[in-house]
Amino acid sequence: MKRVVSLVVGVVLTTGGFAQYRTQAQQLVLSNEDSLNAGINSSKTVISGYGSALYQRDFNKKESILNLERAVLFVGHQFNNKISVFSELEIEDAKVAGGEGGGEVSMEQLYLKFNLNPKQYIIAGLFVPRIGFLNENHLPVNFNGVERPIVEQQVIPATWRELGVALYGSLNHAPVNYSLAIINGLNSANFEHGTGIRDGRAEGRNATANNLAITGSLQSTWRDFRFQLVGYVGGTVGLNKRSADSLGLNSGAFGTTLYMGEADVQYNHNAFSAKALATYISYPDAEKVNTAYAKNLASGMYGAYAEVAYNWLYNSNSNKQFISFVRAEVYDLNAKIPAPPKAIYDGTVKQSHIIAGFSYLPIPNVVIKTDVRLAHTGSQNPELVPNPSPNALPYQQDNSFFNLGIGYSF
Amino acid sequence: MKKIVILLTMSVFILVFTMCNKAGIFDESGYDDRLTGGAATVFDETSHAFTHVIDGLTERDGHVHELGDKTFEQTFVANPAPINGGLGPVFNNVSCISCHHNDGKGTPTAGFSTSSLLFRISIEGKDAHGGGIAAPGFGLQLQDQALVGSKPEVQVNINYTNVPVTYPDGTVVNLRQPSYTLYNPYTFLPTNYMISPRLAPPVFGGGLLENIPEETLRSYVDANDVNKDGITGKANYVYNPYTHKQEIGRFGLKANTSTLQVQVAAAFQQDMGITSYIFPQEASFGQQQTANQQSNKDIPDSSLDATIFYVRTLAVPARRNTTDLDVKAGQKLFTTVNCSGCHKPTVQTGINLNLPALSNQRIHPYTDLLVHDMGSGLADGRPDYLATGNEWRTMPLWGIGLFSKTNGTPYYLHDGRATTIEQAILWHGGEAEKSKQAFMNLSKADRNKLLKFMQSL
Amino acid sequence: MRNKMNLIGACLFAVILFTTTACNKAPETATTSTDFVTLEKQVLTDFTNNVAMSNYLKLSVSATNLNMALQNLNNNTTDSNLIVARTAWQTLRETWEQSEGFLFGPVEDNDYDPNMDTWPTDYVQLDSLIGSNNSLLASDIQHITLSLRGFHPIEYIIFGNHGNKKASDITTREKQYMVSLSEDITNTCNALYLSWSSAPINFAQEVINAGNGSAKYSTKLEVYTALVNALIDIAGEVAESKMLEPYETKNPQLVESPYSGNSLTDFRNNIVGLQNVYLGVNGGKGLKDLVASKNKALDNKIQNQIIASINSFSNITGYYEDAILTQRIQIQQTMQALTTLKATLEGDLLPFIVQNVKD
Repeated sequence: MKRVVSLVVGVVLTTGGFAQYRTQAQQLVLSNEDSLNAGINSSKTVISGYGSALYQRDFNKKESILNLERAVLFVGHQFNNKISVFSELEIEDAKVAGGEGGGEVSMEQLYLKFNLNPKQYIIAGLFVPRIGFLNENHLPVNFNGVERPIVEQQVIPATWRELGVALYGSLNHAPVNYSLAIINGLNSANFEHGTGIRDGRAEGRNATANNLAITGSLQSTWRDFRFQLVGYVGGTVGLNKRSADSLGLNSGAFGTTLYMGEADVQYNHNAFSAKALATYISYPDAEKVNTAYAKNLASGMYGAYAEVAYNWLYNSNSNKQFISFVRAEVYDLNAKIPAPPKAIYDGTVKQSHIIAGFSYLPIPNVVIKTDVRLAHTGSQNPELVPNPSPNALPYQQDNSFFNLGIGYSF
Repeated sequence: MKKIVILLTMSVFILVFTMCNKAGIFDESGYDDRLTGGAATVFDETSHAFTHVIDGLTERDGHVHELGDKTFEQTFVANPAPINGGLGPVFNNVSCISCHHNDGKGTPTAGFSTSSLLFRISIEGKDAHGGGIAAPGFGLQLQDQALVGSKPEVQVNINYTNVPVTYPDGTVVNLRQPSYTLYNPYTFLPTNYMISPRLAPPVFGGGLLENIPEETLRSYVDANDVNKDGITGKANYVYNPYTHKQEIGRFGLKANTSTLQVQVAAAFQQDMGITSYIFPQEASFGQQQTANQQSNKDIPDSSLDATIFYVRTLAVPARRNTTDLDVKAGQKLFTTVNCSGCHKPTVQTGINLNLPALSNQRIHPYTDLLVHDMGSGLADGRPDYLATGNEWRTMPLWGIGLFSKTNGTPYYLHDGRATTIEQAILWHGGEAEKSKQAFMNLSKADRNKLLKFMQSL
Repeated sequence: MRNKMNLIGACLFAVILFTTTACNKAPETATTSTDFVTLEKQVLTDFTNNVAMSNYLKLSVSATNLNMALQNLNNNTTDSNLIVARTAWQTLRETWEQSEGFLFGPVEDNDYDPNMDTWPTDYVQLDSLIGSNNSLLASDIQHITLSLRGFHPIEYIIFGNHGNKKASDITTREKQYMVSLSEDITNTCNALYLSWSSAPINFAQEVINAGNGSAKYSTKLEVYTALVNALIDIAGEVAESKMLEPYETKNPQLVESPYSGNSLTDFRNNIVGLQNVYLGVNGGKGLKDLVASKNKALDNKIQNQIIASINSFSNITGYYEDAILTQRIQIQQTMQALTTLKATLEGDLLPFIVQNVKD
């Protein structure tokens, strides 16, 4: 056992391999397995954080924006070697002002962690379950590209936190990690066409708890590869039975079920790294939800991406990194839809993106990034625009963006 | 530790396999009786009860509704005019609103500036699409007004005679039997022409009716009268000149129009002589006297579309006095005497993702949108697609209790011959004969309860 | 003694002075002692007699006056008779526009409004009609197109463009047409008055007896709702339609009453009509008395907003069809004042009525 731990820790420290950069607070109470039991035994409080800002040029609109996307503060506290608490407070878009739209202040995570034994722990509270890469690894120094991978924003919601309880652990005799969580379910009343399942999240605020979800994951490593498999099953109707009946929806913990599967693989060998991810969401009852709320939801959505990257400073004997990367992403938020008129196909939410760019990390805590993104979407369906504005510009299926960003974490 | 894992796994299994409640039937009593149009209901019992927009439109859609409202109220004038031109050369009236009074019914007079009774005309036979054959020189509708310098196609004289009806209990009610005579035609009327009077009907709630699934309407047909109630019903299948398809008829007093789009565009073209992208030809096309006054796109596409959208998004007024005991008793009698055989009290609309207030709504239109034989007393003798000369579409009854508010004198039936609901009932015949007899055999008190219920619609 | 008297007098004077200035007593609201339900009935009665019937009677008289003035002008076509006719037309318009403050009942049920006041007029047909040989008797008028009937074709004939027409310019056909038009209007106005004052409709009794035997209004609340909605409608009509449409499109052709240049007066009179309903006239009770008896602040707010709206019209000078191009800020301000008033009527007065009017 000890050998496995030290091996993993060794990988973290020496190669910067699969395990990503961890802030001190994360290390203290870490939700990912690779530095389990890190930190010291006595009571300790740690503050850390991360942030990022970007410049983006939209070539169709011929508009540029500058935005302080995120400023995040972590506070972790270890009560004793068994129990600790971890919090993540975020300000998005720099400013939240009364009466104005935009900007957001939110608790991204707030949970208690109970160590059961050196291999297993339980967390309870508001946390981000292990789904995809980004949810657990969203520090700007840990992903390539100024923008987060689009599939992990549109299909798998980014920083998807919910309230619940989770068990994390790893096997004794094999390089396998697992997790199992029970969390509040998504709220179908808030699903919107074109935003996948994002708007159904409660993110800790008055979640409906008549409906629940379970999600589990398995991770394994083999040579230079790491594999992950995730499943999610959850009810999406948090109404009482009477209300649900009035809408013709199945209710209960797992009524009107939404299923999600995700698989990914990472490869790391010296200066070269690659990753690929695929996910599918199945919502067989979309038709019923559309009937109940006059929404245009899909019964199937998918997303996938693949990325290769090369660190040109790998052999330079310093901790500087200069990474070039290319990533290709495809997704379709209405891959499968109920028969019309219970859904209307929308080509604009079937998209593909190619992103290519550089990341320069003078030290592991700071990154300067730049990239170009070429986007392509399907065509607009006139049925979705019953009263087109006479002044509206024709919908453009191709667009390109130039991004420049900075980020840090400590 | 193991215990915890086992416990967790077990509880998860319990959750997964036991905790899905299948959607049950929502009890009837859970619905609010007042919501005649479901989410598309408005609470207003003044003269403007029919003029409200449905809830929940986007800002853009709300704006388009307003534009449509303006067009609906706009008085059209003769060409050449910088705006709102294109009236005529022959027409029945100068604006939508001058017939659809407060978006409601019209006035059954002919030949006056505010008359709202018009006449369809055709001759024996069917055209290529199953519709009536236009009367040569007159088309399918008689326009009794014309621009200065032209002659109206014809003028119409209306005469009423009293027809007393006696109830088994001795009560006598006088009905007005109209007779219509054409005079002063601008050219020779064909022999054996058939005419059909049509009073401008209320226009609200059309979006909901348009959204009732065709299967639902077809399910109301009982061609062989299996349930032996004397009611068969027929879906009228009509030609849509825009889609070039045969579609189920929903609008028009004989259900001879399938969509609001065609209904509105046809009213512009036939009633006002306003041509559009849907009907680019003047109603008077082919007539010698107006040959040099043809223009083929009087109204901009956006104005026509906005007017269609306006009509589609007009809300239905809520019922009143629903808890009154007489009204409740009347509601039961409505079913007992089988008024509900055709005037279907409750219908579920289909899905409309663009207009949530119209989508999947439980509505109370009191119509099956089918055509029924109404007996010889109401017959016009002029077939319209599959509807025979005896058949009329079941009139939606929603809002009828408000006609006296929206119109002053309320007018009922296809030509406004009835001025009370009671008279309208007594005109029923044919498939409705049984129900009418049942009504007449009720005690006076019960009849009044039934009428009071209908006033609450 | 005299000194003493003086002293007492001075004291008294001082006391009186003191008491009257130390406390500025609010003027007594007459309604505080009146029972609200009695007041409800009183307001309906006073509205019917003092506002509606009186306005419609005046309308009928003004229509007859216009008819006489036009006949005069027809018989003796002089510029001075033309001026008399124009004044008569303007008086009739004033009365009519004020009656639009309560546009419900027979005026809408029986189409009296479109019969007299359809806008726009149909220039093309107007010219063809005048140029034609068609019969132009009053009996013909009620069969012709709405856009050739009512106030505005007369206006077109006697004013020309902004009153540039001379008596000598008016043709025989035009004279014949205007006389018949005014006769038709007189018939309509008489019918309108009779619809309120006598059988078979007797609308006055329907309003007064609302909730008490009225066939049309089974509760008082129904008639009050109709009344308040009429106020909301006219405020909206002026702000969002009559003024806004030409303003938005900068199109002078959309302005009502352009021949006489009477548009702004028309708009203003609409709101005066609204004010008459709200305040009551000739010592009669109005909606204000109902409101003030329970919510003085709301009454003040409504009164202030009505006055602000009416006064704001004086900021716009000249013809409205010019002002839409040159005085956009002033127009904007008036429309804003009206929109504010409408919002108060809709958001405060209507809920007040719904909450308080009981049968």
